[in-house]
Amino acid sequence: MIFTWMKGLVRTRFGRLAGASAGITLTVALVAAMGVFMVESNASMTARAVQAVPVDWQVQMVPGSDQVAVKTAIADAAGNAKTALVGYADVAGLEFKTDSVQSTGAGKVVGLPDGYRDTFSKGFRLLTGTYDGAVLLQQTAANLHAGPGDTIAVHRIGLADASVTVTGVVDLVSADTLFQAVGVPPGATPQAPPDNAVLMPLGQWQGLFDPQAQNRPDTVRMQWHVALDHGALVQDPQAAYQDVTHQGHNLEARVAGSALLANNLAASLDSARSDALYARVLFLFLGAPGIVLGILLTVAVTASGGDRRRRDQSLLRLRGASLPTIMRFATLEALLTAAIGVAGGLVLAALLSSLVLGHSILTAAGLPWLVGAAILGLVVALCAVLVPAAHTARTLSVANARQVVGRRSKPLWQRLYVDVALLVIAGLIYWKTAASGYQIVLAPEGVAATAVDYTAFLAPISLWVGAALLALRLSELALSRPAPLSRAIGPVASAVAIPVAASVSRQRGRIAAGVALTALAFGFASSTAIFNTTYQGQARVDAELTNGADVTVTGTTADPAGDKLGELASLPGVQGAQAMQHRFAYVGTDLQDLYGIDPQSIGSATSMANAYFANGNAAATLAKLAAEPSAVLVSDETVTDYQLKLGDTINLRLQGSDHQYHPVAFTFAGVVREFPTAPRDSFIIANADYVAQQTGVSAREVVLLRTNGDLSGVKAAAQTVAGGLAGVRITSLDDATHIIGSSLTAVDLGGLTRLELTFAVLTVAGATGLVLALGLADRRRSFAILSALGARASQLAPFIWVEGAMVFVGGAVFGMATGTLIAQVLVTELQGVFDPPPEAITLPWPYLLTALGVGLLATAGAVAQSLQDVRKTPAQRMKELQ
Amino acid sequence: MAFKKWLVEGKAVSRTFSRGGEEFTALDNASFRIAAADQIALTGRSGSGKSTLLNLVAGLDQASKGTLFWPSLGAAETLRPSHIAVMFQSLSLVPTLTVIENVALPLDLLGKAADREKLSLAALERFGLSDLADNLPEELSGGQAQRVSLARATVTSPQLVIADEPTGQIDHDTSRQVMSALRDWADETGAALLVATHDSEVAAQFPMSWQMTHGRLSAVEKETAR
Repeated sequence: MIFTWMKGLVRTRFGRLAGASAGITLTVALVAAMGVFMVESNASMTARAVQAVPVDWQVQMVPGSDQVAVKTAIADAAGNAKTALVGYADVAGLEFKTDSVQSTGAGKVVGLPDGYRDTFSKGFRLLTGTYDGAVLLQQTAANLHAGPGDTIAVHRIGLADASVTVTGVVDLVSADTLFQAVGVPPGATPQAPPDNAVLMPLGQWQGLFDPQAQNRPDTVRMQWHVALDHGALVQDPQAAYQDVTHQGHNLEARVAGSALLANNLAASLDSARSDALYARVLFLFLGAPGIVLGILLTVAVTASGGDRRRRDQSLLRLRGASLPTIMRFATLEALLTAAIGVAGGLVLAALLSSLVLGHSILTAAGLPWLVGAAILGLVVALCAVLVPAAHTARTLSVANARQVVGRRSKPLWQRLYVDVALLVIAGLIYWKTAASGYQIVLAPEGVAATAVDYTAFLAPISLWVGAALLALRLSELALSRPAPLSRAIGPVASAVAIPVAASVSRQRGRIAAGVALTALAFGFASSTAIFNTTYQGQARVDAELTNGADVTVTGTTADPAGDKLGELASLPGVQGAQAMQHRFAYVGTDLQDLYGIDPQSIGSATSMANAYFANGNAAATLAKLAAEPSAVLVSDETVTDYQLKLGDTINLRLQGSDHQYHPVAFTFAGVVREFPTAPRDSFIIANADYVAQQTGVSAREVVLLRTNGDLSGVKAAAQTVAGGLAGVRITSLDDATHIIGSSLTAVDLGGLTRLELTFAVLTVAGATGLVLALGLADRRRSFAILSALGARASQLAPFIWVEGAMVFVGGAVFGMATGTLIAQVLVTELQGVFDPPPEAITLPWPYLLTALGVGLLATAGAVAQSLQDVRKTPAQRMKELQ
Repeated sequence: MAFKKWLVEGKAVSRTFSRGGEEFTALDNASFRIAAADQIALTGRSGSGKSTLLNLVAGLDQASKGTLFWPSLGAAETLRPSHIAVMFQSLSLVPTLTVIENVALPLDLLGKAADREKLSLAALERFGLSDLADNLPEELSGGQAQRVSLARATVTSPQLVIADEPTGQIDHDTSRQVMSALRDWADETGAALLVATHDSEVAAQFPMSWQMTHGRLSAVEKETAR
């Protein structure tokens, strides 16, 4: 009997079974694919955080402690770690004599053992020469005007000067880490790396500084640099952070009193774990609505067969079936739905993960998500099928078995205005968030505990649910009076406008539910698309900030890229080119980067976002800079440190053509927070012409190129033009996206976007097409009756397309409007994801139009299918319904 | 002797269907005529071909063989709802429309917007249904629903009403009321009736009777007192 029922179910209820299974498939696939994506993202964030660290641990020995004992302690605490002993010596200064004498202030000399760069290769970029002897930092070489082959004097402390021969010049990208103060408490103000430093082989260093260590032990330090075994790290940044921190504590306990630890790996994972929390928040913000939508779709599909279920159960009861028997049949239907849906969902997740995200879902770490998704699918199927079946079975009577319309009283939520209340709550939370500029994720540096302010979810959730309920209320209200509706459709529905309007009005509850579901789907699609487009736009701004422009050619003062400006500007694919100075200037004793620009034309080569400037107005700030040649923009920190007021004169010391630093008077004109190629800490923006005039050096070291999108082509062409410049570096946005600060930005959010957008389009198609098609199929009896009465196909059509048009148009309008608002809320609440924050949301018109097109096609498909049915002869239709 | 006004004429009409790849003849070589004011009971067992014949006469289906035409009514496409009205065995009201909206449907289909309310109310009044005008079909009893179907069938004053087991799902007393109302209306208007029934008591009330047996039609003329 069970087998017969199952066969009948598949044969006669295939559409509904397939529809409900499709809803389960979407839900399961979304949970599985996004869950595995999150696991993979965490692993990739951990890997990226690990990759960014030049030296995992720096273990600095207390003078007089036993180096071997500390090394043994490191091995005990860190297992298979690799170690290298590095020497640091303070020097009073460096000097290079040619025709004139170039000298620097205090500096450091670092001794690196043989093979150091084999283990700790990150952060070194040899600009010229070799590593065989003394290698100068780029800035030091510029200060001394020295290069390979030159002999410089090192002013040792308490000893006679020593002479060393320069063999190379290096750009030490990881200078912040290598020269950090070890043993300072977490959160302490970061120490700037020295402006002057020399690297040399450890043997040479020991020859020079062992005597200094004996005289002045306070000026020489030894550090063990440790590379930990990364293979042993767990994939989750939070767990990895805790493991590495605890490992560090273990070492600290072992070497207490004899060494201090700088746990760089833990610090890097520290920032990655907040990104991981943001990833989880994004998953919830962007993925949860999709999952809820998949569940609602399943419920809507099963609910659309309520009429048929009542009749089926009525017949079963007439033929003597007991309640347990009816429930057994319903359970069978639920299990069949779940089996098809879960299998389909897992296959779809595997396909999408492979095609869209480029990874397999069959990983050990992803397995719990797959099992969880399958269980969710089973629960949803059981609830969606069994709950209405049980309700129908309990309340079934001959009278209500026929009931398909009913006279409804207003539901409780409408009487209590729950929709309005939810929208007010969303507005209040949004206002509070926007006003206070708070962070949803709190992961204080150096503190193991993290927190996510989940109450922030209330705003988008309240908005989403409130808007859907409002759509339901307004749709019902609009459809409650048949007369205006009849007049509205009169021109196209002609003779049948009155019965069509009456019929639609009588079914307003069901149609309004279709509008609300479609609005939810469009809301999900549009909010996801808008958020992701805004995010990607900001990631590009972030990359542009880091790189400077689409393509950036960075030379030196001696060999400035600006000399090639004309040739670079005329390269194919280049739409704008600007040369910019990159110098250094002393603000008091603080050496800062200085950028000399042409304020009125810099925007032709790179974006000048309002967020870069404290007053939020890029155009006004640059105009102010252009108006006064001596005007200068400085960072907030400088304004505070030096108590500057607008119009104040600031004397900065800049290197002149004689390679000496001379004071130059500038006028404080504004505050700059970020600028293309500028570091994240303090820097200065000035007029290039004024800098050139005051220093006597007109060189423009950097050229920024805006392209037509062909980054690699322009980069390659620029290489042929400027590649001959000594120490030149040519980079594009593509290079920058791999090194920008936020590991979350670096995660393949593009994959997540494609995944979500695919699901969004599928749910839009499901909400419009599937629910409509199944609903219309339920009304085949009415169409058969109308047809038998003499209705022609053209007279039946309005009964179908009017409903389709209402569901589509109502859903699309409500959904798109809601989606835009939700995206605005998400962008505001997730400010922490963006660096810099966006000025406005970005509307992805191609995607929105595609979503509309898919919804329209799905609606048209459902309507066309029903119209096809209408074209059958009345006798055929009557026979099918008997 | 006056010439009869023939509404329907069928000559050697057959209708075959495919069922499981096999041909099945539901109506076999039937010849018949229906004149104005004829009141015909169509009897026969279930599956004998009654519904097939009714569908063909109503223009709902097409014959596989033979010729079928409507001399006084026009082409098949224009028969319903102006000249021929149909009633079914099962509940045949559109569930999303009220009683009066259901009754007005044939008028809407004919584009008679001006008279729809007046004619519909008159039809309801004729069958004692005025009080139910704003009810939904699901709020009616089986007998009330069939009387509404009757009102709807007559609202356009058709010349032939075809009913397929109109009393099949209602009790005996209600069945008599419905059939009586239908025949009264036909008597008043001179419309013809073709009513399929398996109820011999109902069939006995009709002056003419056609018998279907395994797809073959035989006509029996008789005089029946009302």
